[in-house]
Amino acid sequence: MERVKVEAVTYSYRTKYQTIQALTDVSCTFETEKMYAIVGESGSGKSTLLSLLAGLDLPVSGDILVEGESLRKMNRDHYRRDVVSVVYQAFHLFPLLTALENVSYPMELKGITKKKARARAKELIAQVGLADRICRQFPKMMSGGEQQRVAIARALASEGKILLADEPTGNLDSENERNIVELLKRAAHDRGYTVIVITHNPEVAKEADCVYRMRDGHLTREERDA
Amino acid sequence: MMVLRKSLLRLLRTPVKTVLFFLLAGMAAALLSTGGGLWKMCRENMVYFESLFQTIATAEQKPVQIIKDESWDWEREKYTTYNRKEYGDVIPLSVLDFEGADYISGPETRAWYAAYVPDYLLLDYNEGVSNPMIVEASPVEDGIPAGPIKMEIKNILYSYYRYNAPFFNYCDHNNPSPEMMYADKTYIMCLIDGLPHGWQSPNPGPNEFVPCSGVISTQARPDGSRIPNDLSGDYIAEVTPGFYETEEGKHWQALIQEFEIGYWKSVPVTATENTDLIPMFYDGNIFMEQGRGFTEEDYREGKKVCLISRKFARRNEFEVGDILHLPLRSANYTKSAYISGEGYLTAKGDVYPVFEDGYWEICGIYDVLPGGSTKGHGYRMAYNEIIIPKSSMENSDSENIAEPGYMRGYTTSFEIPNGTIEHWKSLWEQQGIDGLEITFYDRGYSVLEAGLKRMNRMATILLVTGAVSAVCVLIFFCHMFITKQSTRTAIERSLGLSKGQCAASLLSGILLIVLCGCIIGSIGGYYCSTTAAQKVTQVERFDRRYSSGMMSISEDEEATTYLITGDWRVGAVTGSAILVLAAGIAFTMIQKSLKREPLVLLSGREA
Repeated sequence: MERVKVEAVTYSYRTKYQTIQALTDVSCTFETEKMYAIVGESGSGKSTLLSLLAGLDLPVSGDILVEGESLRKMNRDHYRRDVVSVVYQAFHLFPLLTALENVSYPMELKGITKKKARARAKELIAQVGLADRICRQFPKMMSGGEQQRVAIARALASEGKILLADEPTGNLDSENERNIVELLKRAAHDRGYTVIVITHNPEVAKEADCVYRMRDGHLTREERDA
Repeated sequence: MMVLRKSLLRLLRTPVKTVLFFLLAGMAAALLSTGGGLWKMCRENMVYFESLFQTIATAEQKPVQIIKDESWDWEREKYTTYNRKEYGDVIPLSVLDFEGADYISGPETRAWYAAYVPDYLLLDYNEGVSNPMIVEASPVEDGIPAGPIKMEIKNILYSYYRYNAPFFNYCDHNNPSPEMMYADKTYIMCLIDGLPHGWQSPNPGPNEFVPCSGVISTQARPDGSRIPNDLSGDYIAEVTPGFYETEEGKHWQALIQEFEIGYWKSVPVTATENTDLIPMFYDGNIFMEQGRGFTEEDYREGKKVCLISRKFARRNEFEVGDILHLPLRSANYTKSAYISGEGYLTAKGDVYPVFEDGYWEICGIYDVLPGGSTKGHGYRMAYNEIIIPKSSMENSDSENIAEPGYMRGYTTSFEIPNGTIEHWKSLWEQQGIDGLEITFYDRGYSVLEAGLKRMNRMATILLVTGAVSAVCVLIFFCHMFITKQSTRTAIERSLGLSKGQCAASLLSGILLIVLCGCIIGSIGGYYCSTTAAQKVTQVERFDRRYSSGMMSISEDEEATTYLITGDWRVGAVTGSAILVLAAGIAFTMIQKSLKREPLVLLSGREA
C-alpha cells in the first residue's frame, strides 16, 4: 500500500556563493511494510530528499503526498511529531539529556506519562543492543556507535509510520550493523513502518526491499537482480 | 509543561553558566535598583527642599568712606568724636535688574507709608516711644543754655503726656555756641527728654529737655536727590506778635500738626511683592494667628488685602474680613517701618497730603514668635505694622517721598531660584558694580544641594553601569542559551515541537534565571540605595534659619533632614525593566534562530 508519493519534486537552496540545485524532478513512491534504500554519491541530494520527506522543508516545486495528503497542507509540526521519525547521520541527540531522557523525549512530547515513557525507552534501548548503564549516560560519554543506536531508539520511540535513517550504520561494527538493519527490517515488515534508509553501504542496501539511486539530484529506481 | 521542565532540567545541567548568569543578572539588577533608588531619593528631596527652601538676598549700599565727626557735649564741655559713614550717591535699584538675573520676586526696595487712621487705637499707655514736645516758654532769667537753664512754660502746643509742672530745664546740649535767651521773650521750642548732666554719677543734675527735629524737610525725588526747600531748619524760634501769620510760624504749626498726626493717628504700612522678602517673614518669626498670608493671586491681581498685627487687631477688635481705610501720606525709604512722627514736612513746609486712599480687607492677623528677629533694629516689625501687596497700590509715591534712602538689608531684597546663587554672583560680577553688599539667605539649601548632587552623580553612574551591564549580560547569555543552542532548537523542531513551544522552551529558562536574579538584586539594591544615600549625605540636620553664615544647630532647634527612605517600587520597576529587556532580547534572538530552517541546521549545510 502506497504511503508516500513524491511527485516531480524540485529543490534548490542558496549557499553564501551560489544556488545549489539539489533535487530535479524527483518522483517515487514508498509503500508500507517495506524498507527502502537510497544510495548515491556524496552531495547527490540523498540527505536533502530525506529532509523533505521528514517535513523539515517544502519542495520548490512538485509535491510530497503522505497517505494521499499533501505535505504542504499538513500541519508539519504534527507530521514530524506523529508520522515521521528521523535518524540523522550526526545523531543530533540532546547533549544535556541522558540516553533515557533522549529516547523518552518524543513519547513525553506526545503526552505519554514520564513513567511509561521511561519504561518504554528502556525497552527500546535494550532492543538496539545497548546495556542498561547507557540509560544514565550523556551523549558525550558514549561512543559514536552507542549514540547512533540511541538515536535509532529515539526514532522508534516516536512510533511514526515513516522512519527515515541517514547512514544509520555508519558508526557501527559489523555485528551491530547487522542487528540494526535487522531492527529496521522488523520495523518495516512486522510493525508496518515505511523505512527509508540512506546508505553508502551495499550490505545495507542489499537488505532493502527496494533501492533508489540518486545521481546529481535525479532519482532512479534500481532493478534488483533476480 | 514537559517542554518547560526539560528546559529547566537543561539549565540545571549547566550549573556554572546558570549560576554565573543568575549572579550577573542579579548584579545588574542591584546596580539599577540602587541607582534608581538614589535617583528617586534625589528627585523627592529636590521637590521636598524646593517646597521647604527659598533663596533670598538682601542688598545694602556700602559706605564709600568713614568720616571722623565730632559733636559738642556741654556736660563734658568738649567735642566728642564719632565715626560717620559716608555713602555718596544713592545707587538705584535698577542696577539689580540685569540680563540673566532670574528673579522669582523683586528686586524691591520697600518703603513704609504713613497711613492716616484717626479712628483707630494705636498704642497702649505702656508702649513707650520717644516723645517730643513743642512748647512756648521763656527762661526764668536771661541765660545761655550751655547747661540746664530753667524755663517757664507759657503754652504746651504738642505733647503726648500732660506736662503739669510749670517749669522745665533746657540745655542746648550739642550746640557749641548757643545764643543768649532772654527772660522777657517767648520762644517756641521743639524738645525731647534728655538725660540729666552727670546722670552716671551718684548725684546727677536736674532732668533736662534738649532740642529735637525742628522745621526741616527731607522730601526727595524718586532718584534720591533732595528737593531744595527754604525751611529755617530751626528747633527754636522767638514768638513775636503775628509770628504764626508768618511763613515760619505756619511751618511751626504744620510741624505741630505733623507730630499730632504722625504719632497718634498714623500706622506704618509696608508694601511688598512677596512677604518672604521681608526678613521677619523669611526667618519664620512671623506666624498667622488668624486667616492667611498673601497668595499668588493676591500679588498677581493686586487684591486689596492686608495683614495686621495681633495687638493692633485686639486693640481695635478687628477680625479677618474687616475692611481698613488706609489713606497713605508719606513714603520713607530710609528706615524700617516705625511709629511715624519724625516731624516730616514737605519741601514747602506743609503736612504731607494723602496720595493713595483705599480700603484693604484684612486677610490675616499675624503675630511674632517670642524672641522675634535675631538681627538688628531695622529687621524687626514695627508697632501696628500693616502689610499690603505692592500691586494693590494704584498711585505712585513719587511726590510723597519724605525720606529717600540707600538700599538697606531690611528694605531691599529679591528672591532667586534655589541653587542659583553662584550663577547670580557670576552675572553680578560682570556688571562691575562695587557699591552694594549682597547677602544671600538660603536656609542651608546650598549645603543640602551639594549632598544631593553627590547623590545624583552616584545614581547616574550606577544607573548607567547597571543598564550597560544588564544589556551586556543579557545579550551574552541569550547568545549562549539561544543562538548557540540553535541545533537543539532544530532537533526539537524535527521532533515535532512548534515554533511557539521552542520559543517557550528557550524563554522560560532564561526568564526564570533573570527573574530570580532581579528579585535578589532588587532587594539588595533597596538596601544599598538607603545605605549609599546615608553615606553620601552624612550631614543630616541643618538649621532652618541658616543664612549665608556658618551652619549651626542645637538640639532644640528646628532641623531639616534628607528624606532617606528606600522605595521597594523602584526595585520592582528596575527588576521588571530588566525582565522585559531580557524577554525582548531573548525573543529577538529566538525569532532569528527559529527563522533558520531545521533542514539547514541539521544537514550541517551552514557549517
